[in-house]
Amino acid sequence: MSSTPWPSLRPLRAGFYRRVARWVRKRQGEDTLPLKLTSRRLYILPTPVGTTFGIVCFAMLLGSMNYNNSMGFALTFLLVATGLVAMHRCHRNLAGLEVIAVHAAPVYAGESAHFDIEVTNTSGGERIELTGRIGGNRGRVIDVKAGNTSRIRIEVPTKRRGALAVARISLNSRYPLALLNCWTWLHVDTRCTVWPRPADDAPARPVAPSADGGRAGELGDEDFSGLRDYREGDSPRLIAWKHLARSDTLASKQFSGASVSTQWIDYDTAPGTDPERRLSVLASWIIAAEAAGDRYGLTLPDSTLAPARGAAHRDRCLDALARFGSPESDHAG
Amino acid sequence: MRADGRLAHSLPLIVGALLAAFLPQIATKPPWITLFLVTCAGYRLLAERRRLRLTPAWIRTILGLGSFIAVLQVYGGINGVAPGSALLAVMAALKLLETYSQRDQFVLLFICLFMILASFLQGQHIWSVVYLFGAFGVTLAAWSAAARDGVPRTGRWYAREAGVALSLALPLLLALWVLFPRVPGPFWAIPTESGSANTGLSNTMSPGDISNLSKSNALSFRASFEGPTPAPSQRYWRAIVMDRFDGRSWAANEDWATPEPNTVLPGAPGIRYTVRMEPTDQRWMYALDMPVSRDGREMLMTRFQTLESRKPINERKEYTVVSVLDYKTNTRMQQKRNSYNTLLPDGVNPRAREFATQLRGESASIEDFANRVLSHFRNEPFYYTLSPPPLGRDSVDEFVFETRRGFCEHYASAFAFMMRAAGVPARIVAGYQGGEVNPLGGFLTVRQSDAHAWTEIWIANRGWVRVDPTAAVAPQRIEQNLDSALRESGERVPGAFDLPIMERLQVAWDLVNARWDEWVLGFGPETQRNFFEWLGLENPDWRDYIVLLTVSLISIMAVITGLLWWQQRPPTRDAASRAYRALQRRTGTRTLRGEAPLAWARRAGVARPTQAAHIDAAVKLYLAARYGDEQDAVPRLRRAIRSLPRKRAEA
Repeated sequence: MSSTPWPSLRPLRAGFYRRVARWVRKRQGEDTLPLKLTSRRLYILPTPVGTTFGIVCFAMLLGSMNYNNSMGFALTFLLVATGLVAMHRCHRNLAGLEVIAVHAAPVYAGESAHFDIEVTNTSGGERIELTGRIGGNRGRVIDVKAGNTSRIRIEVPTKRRGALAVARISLNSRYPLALLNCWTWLHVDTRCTVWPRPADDAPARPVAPSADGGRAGELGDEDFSGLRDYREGDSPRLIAWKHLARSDTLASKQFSGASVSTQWIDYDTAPGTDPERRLSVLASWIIAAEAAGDRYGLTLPDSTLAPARGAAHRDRCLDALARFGSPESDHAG
Repeated sequence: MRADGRLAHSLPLIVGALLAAFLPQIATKPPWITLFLVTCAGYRLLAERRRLRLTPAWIRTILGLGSFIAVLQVYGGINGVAPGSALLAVMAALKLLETYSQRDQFVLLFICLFMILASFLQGQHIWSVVYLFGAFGVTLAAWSAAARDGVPRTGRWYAREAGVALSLALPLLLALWVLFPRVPGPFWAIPTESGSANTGLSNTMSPGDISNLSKSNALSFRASFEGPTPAPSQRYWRAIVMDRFDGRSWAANEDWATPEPNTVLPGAPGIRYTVRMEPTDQRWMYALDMPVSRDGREMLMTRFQTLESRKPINERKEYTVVSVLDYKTNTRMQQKRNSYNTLLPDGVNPRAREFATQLRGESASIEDFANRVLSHFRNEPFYYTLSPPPLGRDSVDEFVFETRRGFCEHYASAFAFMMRAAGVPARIVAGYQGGEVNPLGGFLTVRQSDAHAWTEIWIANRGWVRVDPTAAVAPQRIEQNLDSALRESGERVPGAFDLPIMERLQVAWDLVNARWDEWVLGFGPETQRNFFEWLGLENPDWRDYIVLLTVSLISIMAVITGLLWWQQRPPTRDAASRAYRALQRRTGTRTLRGEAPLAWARRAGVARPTQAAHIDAAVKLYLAARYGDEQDAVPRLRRAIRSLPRKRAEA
């Protein structure tokens, strides 16, 4: 029941929540993980269903009184008792849960960042229907069996390169009857690095002389090691013409050898004037270079990354692109 | 909108809850309503399973309008519990057809709760407890399913959830039941059922009329006295005077409403009280014998010493009256009409007529004559019963000489007839007698079951004198209430068995029902007060209840919290670890610090070569229990340990 019954109240409610959130932030202070959810940091309020339930209880009480109907009283009291029990069970369902870590793997701008909240249930009972939210983004709903550790994943859409900072994550549950919502606010400084979105239409990387003087754009040329799909920018000398004649597909010859060439991916050689566009192009070059198995280095106006290979190196390069010019980070939650 | 199977886990439970809630009403509702509900439910379930398109809006609109009109046709309105609950069932059926979100499911569940309440408003039997927990239990299971946001669980899991919720709620329910301050209602007019017969007195009285009325527990009126409340035997509430007799029925005079004040001469100071009466759609009002003055100009004093309104009373009405309990009617003014009050149709009830004339001849005075007739009722085997045998044309003859079983109207009618037969002016007064005093509010509650009929006879210099023949047969009726009077006469349920065992069962069942009536249905302000006085509280009022209620709710909640905590306490050591330690004890080889289970098994195997394979198998079971998914690894490990010979036994 996410929708509020009166949309016109939404701004008012949002303002109220902001105020409460500020007060809670001041009250709780910054959190350090891992932490245990104590009663002090658990909040509980009725959901819209719960409010309706309360009104129904009251209406039934009036009805039972008016008709002096004993079984009506019994039903009303049973409802009230169920509500009270639900309140305590809802609170206990979160109390004592341990939050181990919150992390988010880097994503390309425009993709959704996945914030994973790792929770451990050290108690002897199952924790049911745990979920979380960051701002307006709701997380997956999970159950955590006794003694288990699980992740609540919250997807937050990203818009631009840089970092997505999350100031506040709420962790909540409406178990058992969705009459009440019990939640906690986690103030953990969590960032998700947002890499520039690789340009789909990136031009071929211009051949630049590598730092060690080797011929750029070529792999080692001693030993023929196989064929790979033709990529834009491959030298015509590398094209396997015989293969083309046989199979009608363009393929490039690949050589290996001691002299795997080292290339530089340079900000200055990226076309265009818009820095974001240039970073996008650089990102696609980095990905291409990594996919091609090249050794590559990255030169940015403010930093340089020495040539290397491998996924870790690629991520470092992309991180450097994300950080370049120290962009303002986006905030969620 | 197409069903997408998301509700497949919760819809069957919701449908089950709706049907369970509707169950007690099936017998009393038109069959098409049940059929409609079941059809819509079946169709909706099929739609969810087969991913069908839900009924389009225009069909739902037609169905909605059609069924609304049908309910109007059957009940002639929508006011009242019966048409209301019929509409509720129809609404549930229609809502099912457009249910596709979680919100819709909650709407259905709320309808379900109201359907349970509606069933109770239409009847509360001892089975209602079973129904309450059954229907509410299914509703709770359905609620858990509807509230489930994560991966759906099994029906069994939802049932367990409902069971846990119910059993934890039970102690709170009991505390609220006993301690929640019961306020005497009603706060607003309860809509009367159209066409139901038991709405109140009527201005004619045939044998059986009042006994029928007495079976209704509906409220008639309440009265608050400014001074002390009169004793039960003085609480004669007159409403209608009937002085026309056709041989079988008594009726109010055509001109009964003629206003004529000042016919009562008070012999004592009056008592002032306020009456709040339920609507009757009639003009008469209730006043204690005898009213002398009243507040408000919209009511009149009639020449029969009764009160009447200028307009039919069709909503709750409050009025204040002064009555005198010790009175004399104005004899001079009444004299001229007395010939009318001895009129009897010719030829009816010859035996009673003869008997009366004979008794009158033997009596010295009218008072003496009246007493002789009353003694006859008292000394002969007359019974006071709610279910008297039906009477024929000569109703008084049959009653006095043959059946001798009757309710107040039989006694009043027979007495008045015999008075008139002997030339003594007599008339019937219909109204209410008694009522319960509410100790919290201090007012008197008079119900339809207190309906009563008595007689008045004319004595020359005393005027109209009240004589209640029922008091001769069943004094408890007047001094206490109808219930005690009936119990005294050993009233039996029709169709009682003669077999002793069946009879005993029936008596036991009666007792259970009586306790049910007393402790559950009758649990109100009075019972609650009695309970608290029994607990030792003097003069308890609602503040005491609130304090006690709060204290007990908090303590019960504390216990529940403790229970929940106990359930969730971290396991000290799990079953697998315990079994592993048992295995070590059994083999006589303890693990070294940091030794892995397999390494330990090798060492233990070396120590006891004959059992090496056995130990190895047991350790593998432990590893399966510890790290695997096998559910039965722990019990298998325990069996393996037991089958391993002890070290000593081997040595």
